[in-house]
Amino acid sequence: MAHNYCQNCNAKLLLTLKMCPSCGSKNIDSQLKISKNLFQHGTIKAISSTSSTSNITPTIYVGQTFKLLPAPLGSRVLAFIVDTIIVSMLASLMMLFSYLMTISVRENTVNPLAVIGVLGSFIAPYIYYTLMHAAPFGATFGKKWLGIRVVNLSGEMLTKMQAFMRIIVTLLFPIVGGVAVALSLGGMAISYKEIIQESIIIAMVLAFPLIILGPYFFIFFNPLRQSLFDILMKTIVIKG
Amino acid sequence: MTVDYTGNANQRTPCVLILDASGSMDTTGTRGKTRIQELNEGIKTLEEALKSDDAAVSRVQLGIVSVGGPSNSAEVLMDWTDVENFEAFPLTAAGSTPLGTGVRLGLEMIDQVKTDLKTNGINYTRPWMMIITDGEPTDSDSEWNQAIKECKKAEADKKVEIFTIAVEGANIAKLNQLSIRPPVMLDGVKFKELFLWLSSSLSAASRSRPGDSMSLPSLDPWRNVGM
Repeated sequence: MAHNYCQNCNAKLLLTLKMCPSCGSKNIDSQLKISKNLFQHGTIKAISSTSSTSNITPTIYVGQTFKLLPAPLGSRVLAFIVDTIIVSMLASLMMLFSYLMTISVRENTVNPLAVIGVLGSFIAPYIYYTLMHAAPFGATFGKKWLGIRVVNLSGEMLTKMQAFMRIIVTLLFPIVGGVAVALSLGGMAISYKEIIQESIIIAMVLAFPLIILGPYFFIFFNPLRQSLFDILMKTIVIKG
Repeated sequence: MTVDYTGNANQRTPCVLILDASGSMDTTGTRGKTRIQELNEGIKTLEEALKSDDAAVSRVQLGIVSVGGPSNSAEVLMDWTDVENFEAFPLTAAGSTPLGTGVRLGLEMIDQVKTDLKTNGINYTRPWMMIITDGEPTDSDSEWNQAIKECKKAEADKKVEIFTIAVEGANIAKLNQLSIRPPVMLDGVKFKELFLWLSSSLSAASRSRPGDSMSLPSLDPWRNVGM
């Protein structure tokens, strides 16, 4: 069901509410009110009317009691690295398991356990991110270590389905984008003469990092520090 | 308004709640909760009870006027909403008790919904107005007298059924002026029981035909028998 938001305290409101029952404001809109310069500096003017003159840490108020403080960029990068290492180790362990299962069998036969291992290495990231983000603490090991977590824009923990869809979008976007670039520019490289081929290959090399990192550039332009995946899934990485 | 007259042409039973959210509702009771917390839990109970009833979901409409609260005035807080779209929300207690203005706003809401229902060719049973307060009205004498006059006229014209519920501390004599029905004293903070009663009463009303008389469920679960 659609909702409105109080522009004073950002409480989520029923569409028929003419006034915010929490703060009494009649300034209601369908969008959360986020000041454009809210997070550009270390301190901002509070958006709550009760503390409009004080300087506070950037905070999004959801309802009266829940605060969302977007996670610092450095923590997110470090958490990303830690989690990538963990997921890579999980996937590698699965592959090692497959390899060990293959050694013992004869040539030209397939050990089903080895197949399961390979499949497991592929789905390990999906399971890891889904279960960790839907856990009560809402964080992967990397995020937990750095004191950040993922919630939806109402400040609630993610359901398993929300967490699963978030990682599907996060992991499939670079894969689909990469395949699209490979097919389009690769096709052009085959069709054109040698001199242009080199330019196309360079363009491909430059395009892949853009596709992988592009969704994260949204963090720099979004006041809630959301990546493209967070915007699509209506989630936010917060501190605490 | 979140009402769907084209997709849902069932007859309607409108009910406007005039809820006191003044500072006195912040008083902590014997159960360790404030009156406003108990009231908020009662509204949640009302939502759950009405939504568990198929007839009420499609036939009962709710509107809410808050008296006091952070705005320190009487305001239409929630415009008419079909129960299927209703979600309970917490009120915040603060300010004074301009109950007379709140009652007049409630009567205006009733006039408005009746016009809308007639325009859309929807049958309706007599609207209800339930006033819940724990304090002394802080309106000017002229405003309060006007509220009494409008309530009496609306009742005499059979435009509305008015129920007044007095929470501990309410001015019973003044509440008594608003309706031909005497005020009912709430037993402690039994808001949940009160709203369960309201839900079953509205459900029964929504099943009746316009003009029918009906008997209401017993008030015993929430009425202070000492009253």
